[in-house]
Amino acid sequence: MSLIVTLLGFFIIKFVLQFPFYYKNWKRAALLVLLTSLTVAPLITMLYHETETDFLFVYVAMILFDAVVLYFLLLPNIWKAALASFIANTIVIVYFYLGNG
Amino acid sequence: MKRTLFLCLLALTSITSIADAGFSIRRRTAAAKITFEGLANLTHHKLLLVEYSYHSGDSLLKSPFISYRDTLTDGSSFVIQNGGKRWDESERYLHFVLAKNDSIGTVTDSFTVYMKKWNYKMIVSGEKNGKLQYTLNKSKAYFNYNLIDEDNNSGNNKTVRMLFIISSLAGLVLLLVLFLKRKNASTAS
Repeated sequence: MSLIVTLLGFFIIKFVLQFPFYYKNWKRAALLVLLTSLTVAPLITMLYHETETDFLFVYVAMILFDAVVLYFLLLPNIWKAALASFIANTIVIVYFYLGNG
Repeated sequence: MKRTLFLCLLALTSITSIADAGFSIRRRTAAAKITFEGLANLTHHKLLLVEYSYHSGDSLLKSPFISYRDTLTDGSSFVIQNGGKRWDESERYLHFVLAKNDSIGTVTDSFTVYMKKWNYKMIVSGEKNGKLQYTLNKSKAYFNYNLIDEDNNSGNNKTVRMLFIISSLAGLVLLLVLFLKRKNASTAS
């Protein structure tokens, strides 16, 4: 998958799935989704194609990363952050696998 | 304190991953590929792929059972990817022959290319006394990154790869700036 397609997919999936949790702060949520996607999408593409990193570890790391970002930069509610991050990243990793084969 | 700890962990994990993937710490190769150009220069001959094998010996003369008889044309290419994503394990010996364009297809030259970890580009300049005249360019087989278009592999792969690294670092730096801004704001209030 090209970088633009990966980024767009990550952004749309994460934003749509996290929207119900953070609809009151949706603008800031969108900004955070954009920045986390920008950080994670190219990085996991390189990890996938150039290293033997276990993607179960990458998947867990992505959930933790997003949860920390949502908790500290959006709303200090750990359960909301964990659940939103888990749902969004599960779909994101499936999308990534489908796109990269 | 908790925020600083998480900030450090987040930054360290991301930077370590970027360094690992982006700066060749454990960089592996991609599927090997061979492409052909200049085959139009062969007026009375044709180039054929006759075997796609695990074995190094040119079995053309040893075995009458030739597995392939693909006539190559300009732009023909073969990607050795039998191992799927684990293409490090994919290796093949490709046996080629140069044959006359007559009804029998008399073989006048043959050669073998070992395919693993390297890409080859064969530029055929012609034929002389039944022997193929060519130059073979070799480059390391790395994964082709694309920015916009899936099929656009003609760009400079190193530059595109660097853009992947820069995008990831830019996202991380902006997130860290947001963290620090928020920390300062909460400290001031």
